[in-house]
Amino acid sequence: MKFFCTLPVVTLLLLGLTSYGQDQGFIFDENGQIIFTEVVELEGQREELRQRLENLLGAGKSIQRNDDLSLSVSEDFLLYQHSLGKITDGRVDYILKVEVKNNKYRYTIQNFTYTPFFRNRYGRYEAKRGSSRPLEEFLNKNQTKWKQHFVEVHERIAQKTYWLKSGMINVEIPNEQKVVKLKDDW
Amino acid sequence: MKKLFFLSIVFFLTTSLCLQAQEEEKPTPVNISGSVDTYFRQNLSADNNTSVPGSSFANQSGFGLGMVNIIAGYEGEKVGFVGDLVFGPRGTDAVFASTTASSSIVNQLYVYWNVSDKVTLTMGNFNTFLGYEVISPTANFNYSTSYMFSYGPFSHTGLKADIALSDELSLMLGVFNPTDLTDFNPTDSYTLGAQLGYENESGGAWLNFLYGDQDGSGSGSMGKLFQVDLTTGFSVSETVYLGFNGTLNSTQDAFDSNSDGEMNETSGFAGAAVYLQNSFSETFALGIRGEYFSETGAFGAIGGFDEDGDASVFDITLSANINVGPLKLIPELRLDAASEDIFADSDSEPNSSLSSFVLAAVYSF
Repeated sequence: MKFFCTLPVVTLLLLGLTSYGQDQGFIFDENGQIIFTEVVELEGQREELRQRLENLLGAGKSIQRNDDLSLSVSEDFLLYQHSLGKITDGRVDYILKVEVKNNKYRYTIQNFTYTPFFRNRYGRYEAKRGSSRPLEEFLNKNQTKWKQHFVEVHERIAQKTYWLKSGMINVEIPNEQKVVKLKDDW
Repeated sequence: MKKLFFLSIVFFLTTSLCLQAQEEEKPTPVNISGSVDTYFRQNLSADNNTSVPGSSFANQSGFGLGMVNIIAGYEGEKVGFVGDLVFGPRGTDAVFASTTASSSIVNQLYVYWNVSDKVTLTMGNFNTFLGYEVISPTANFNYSTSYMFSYGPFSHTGLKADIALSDELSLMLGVFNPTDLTDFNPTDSYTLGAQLGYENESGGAWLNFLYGDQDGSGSGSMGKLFQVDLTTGFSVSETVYLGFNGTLNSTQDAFDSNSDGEMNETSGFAGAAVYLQNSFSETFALGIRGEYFSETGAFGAIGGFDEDGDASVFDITLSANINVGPLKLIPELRLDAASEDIFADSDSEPNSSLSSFVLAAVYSF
């Protein structure tokens, strides 16, 4: 009897542990997609925040300006495999979308895909065409490589959101240089 | 040809002076990768030391060594380099025309500059753009190589421009030293190369051309070489891959090999190969290569020819790829059937065919 009481508890614990492991520390939207999102308070009217956003993201290669004043930009970073050597393992692509309202904005980072790289005949690493897959498909991979990759994804997104928040604050760096005049009677 | 070469150099230098560095390079790590390969080869229809297929690599008896390959590369957004070093018999065969002790370990040595999103300039020594197979054993499905690969170019040294015409179409134009003369140019003649490529999500096709004088203009030198090559490969399904390589190579005014004393107009070779592979799982795949290769003008690849200087060979190779982590095992059965008696049988008598077995082990890092 005791055994039958303990079994469901152990099973639940194991399931919990498994699902924690498969999450890899990510948060998911209602469609099961990895999502990073946050509402950031920032003083300023909607148009002003939009202009700051434009200044910050406007130089992006593939920026999309939406009717609701939000901006979307496609970005990517490379993942490396650390074995005996250090090789480019693949590329993570994602979409950063930022919406603005008076005195606040919201960023959403979604649509993560992973494209494996291979070493071509010239010794260079290049993306394998037709091999892009949603990043979520790799969540249950148990190799050390993937554990390192997911840590890297968290770090890169943390850097990106820090960059976004810092950029939106738009702290102006003073151009004036401090001038020291040497005195003769020192 | 010389003018063209110098014009391309001038173009390279002037455009580089005109272009300002727009943004700083983001720090990217240097990739260090490579492979180690070794093999065992046993003739099945002949004594082990009497015969061997005339193709490159994996052509020693018993246990043999491939090479240690170490590739360092920096791939920045704008510029980068590749230094590809080889140590061992396979590497020595791959850079057979090197002239110094240190250059005989250099398989590739080049720098490149992404002038724009669509144009990349590369200068230095790089492996050939022709053909289906490559020098590195990590990228080939079969361990032993085809005759077309073995007698086509291995490497070029020169300057090339890769141009993306669209997402799917690409063009490469280049000017090189004579093929495989990778250290420097002792002949004072240059070779032109071109490639038109098409790639989509399931594979690609590349039409390649090579044209130029390979041995200068001294007395007794041959004329210009011309090679056209078509390489394709497509995924037929999630597990099946189908590749094809066809090539035609000819050189004008080859040496006199006819018994009637007349000069041959050309010498060279032609061939076609089909590659069919199926992945049964992530760790096991099976593939077959069938190749027909013929030579004219006593070209000398096959090892014998008829009174007209012609010969041909058909080879079929069945290989398995067994992946044990980064280690790939390749057991392989190969049959070579030639038009001439270029092999030996089990009694060491001349024979036109040879069957052999290879077990290779390739570790990638």
